Amino acid sequence: MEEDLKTSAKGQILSIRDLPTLPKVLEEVSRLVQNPNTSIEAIAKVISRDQVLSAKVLKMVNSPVYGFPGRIGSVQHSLVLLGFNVIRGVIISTSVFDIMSKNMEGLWEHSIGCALATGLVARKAKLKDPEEFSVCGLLHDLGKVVAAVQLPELHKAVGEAVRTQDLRWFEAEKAVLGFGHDRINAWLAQHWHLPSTIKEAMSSHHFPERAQFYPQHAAAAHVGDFVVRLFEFGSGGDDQIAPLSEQALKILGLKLGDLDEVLDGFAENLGEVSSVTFGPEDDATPKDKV
Amino acid sequence: MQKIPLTLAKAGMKLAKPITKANGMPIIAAGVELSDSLISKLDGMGIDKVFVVGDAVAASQNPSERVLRLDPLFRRMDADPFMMQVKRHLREYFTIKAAADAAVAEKG
Amino acid sequence: MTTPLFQRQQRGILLTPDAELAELFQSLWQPLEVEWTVITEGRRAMEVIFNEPPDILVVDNRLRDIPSTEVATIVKSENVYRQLPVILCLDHKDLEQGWNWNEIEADDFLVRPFTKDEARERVHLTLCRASRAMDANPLTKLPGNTSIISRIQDLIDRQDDFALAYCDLDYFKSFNDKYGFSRGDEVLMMSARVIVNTIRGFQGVRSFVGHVGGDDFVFIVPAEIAEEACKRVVEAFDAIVPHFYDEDDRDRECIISTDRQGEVRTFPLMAISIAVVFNTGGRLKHYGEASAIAMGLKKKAKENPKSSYVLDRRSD
Repeated sequence: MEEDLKTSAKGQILSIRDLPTLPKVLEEVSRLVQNPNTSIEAIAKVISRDQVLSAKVLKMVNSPVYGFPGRIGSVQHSLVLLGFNVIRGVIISTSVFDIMSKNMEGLWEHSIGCALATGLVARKAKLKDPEEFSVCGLLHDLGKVVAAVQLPELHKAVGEAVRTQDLRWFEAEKAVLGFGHDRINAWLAQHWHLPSTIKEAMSSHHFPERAQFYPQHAAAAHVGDFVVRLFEFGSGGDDQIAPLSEQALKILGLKLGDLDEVLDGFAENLGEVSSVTFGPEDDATPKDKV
Repeated sequence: MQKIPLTLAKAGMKLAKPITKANGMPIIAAGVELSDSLISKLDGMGIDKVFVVGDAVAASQNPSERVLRLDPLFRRMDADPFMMQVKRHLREYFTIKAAADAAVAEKG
Repeated sequence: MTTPLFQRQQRGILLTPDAELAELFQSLWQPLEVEWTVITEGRRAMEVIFNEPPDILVVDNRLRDIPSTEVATIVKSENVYRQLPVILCLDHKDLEQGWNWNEIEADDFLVRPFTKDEARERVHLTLCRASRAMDANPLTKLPGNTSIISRIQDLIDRQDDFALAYCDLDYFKSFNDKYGFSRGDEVLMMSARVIVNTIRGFQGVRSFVGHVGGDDFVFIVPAEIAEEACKRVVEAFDAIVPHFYDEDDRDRECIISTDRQGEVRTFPLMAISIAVVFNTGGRLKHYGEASAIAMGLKKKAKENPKSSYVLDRRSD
């Protein structure tokens, strides 16, 4: 029974065509791409704050059609390789969530917070390519978004279980679906030919010790998730802390005390992250960062 | 009242404490409403943090709030010794941060 | 139609016993544009086709001695003639039973009663499409040598001011040797995208990007943006190419490989070398001059193991 659910769920997940994002984000990016003189850097900055747009450009550039699947893990590089016309095509064909549910907004904040935190962890652990680590953090819960769109009834049931049984979202997924968003992430990352580093972070961030090839990426995303939950910035679907794996810290060569610097950096930079994307509704003229 | 980085300040917020010179002389009084031009001016003066009324920014960044939230966040981790160690460490971290903020507020 | 479609006279062979069809085709074009040789029997035509392949072959299904499909098949089955476009002329009833276009590799067909306009446009379309397809690089699909040369010559003839940039990848061979041709192809696809998007990023500018073959690319831009274009291409290429190496080579910033003699050799990461030739004031007369100057400049660019560009600073 469980296997059947997994198989049919996988089919539905992978058949996603139209992944929507938040209106505010789409509005800002659309504005930028209307102006043909906007720099790639400016567009990359805004797209890097949105898990759906980032996933879309990464998926497109890693498609076999372009000729180099699995090689590109940076939003900036993706945009250079896609070019302005293609980017604009992706943006104008992206839709927004009809029901601007608080949950979705919370998940968006949680994801960009995790991007920030994971990048900080990577820097503290002196790892190369911190931008790629940020992307890992940004996409760590993408499976939840896709599940919300493609498996709405099950998604609702998971929410119920969280509320009624005081479970963490991941536990509730296991209880209701028999598998978690980490499994969904694995399906998506594989199907979309995302680079192995990102693939592994997405699929192993709950159990980084099980990561085969890129434990550091999985561990960094794991710690990033812990940090963003600690600050309760946005919501991953529940209001509990995620268990922090001792092994994860070992993999990164960090001690508990080393996290202090990460926490400092997180608190400091949170302002910039939240004000750009989630400023109050009455922001008449958002600053043009072209 | 909350201390926030100037980058987070927005027009409409009210100063909870006056902006003062190094010698303590107030330049801008408490209660003044921030405008875009005032914020730019403060930026030009090298001010990087201000105290504003209310919790204009999410409680995320307020260390005192973080301390209070530790118990609920860790509510199901009692049986896990490592998580309890983590919790103790974080309590200490945020408590120190909250105290540091309070000290700065005193001076202001 | 003001701009001619073709650079030179096109030669067509029309295989038909139908005098009306022959007359139609003869009347649609001036011989200097498209010259038609009409042959009424299929068998006789084969030798002519093989000896002097035309630019286009139109075969009437009403041929009495040999089926049109057989003509098409014979022509398409030889690699040297495969690129020759074939149009069939059919009657309505011929279409009734459906054709296996996988077996009969015709490029297009016309159906009686023929109209002048349709016949003319179909022939033009087929000729243009064929030259596009033949010339495109099979990997990157960018225009190849023929298009490149004709574009350069065209600009020279019009005495337009332009910059012609020849790019190639240093240490591409050693990359292929270690990582295989498949990954080498990935790098070429990436390079193509980098060049195309960088050049297209310049607003309101006439430009052209071609792929000569292997790791050789060409782009043409207005002279005033040439240096900026080179800077951007180099920057983007350098930022992205490390991701095509395995982690250890990427960290070391070089390839370590053992050759057949058991010798350990190191090679730097691939770099892009660009040589830029300027045509200002109509100084160039022939594309051959351009490529000769570029080859000289390229040597200089390659002296630098890192990505670099060399601009032809000569002025006269």
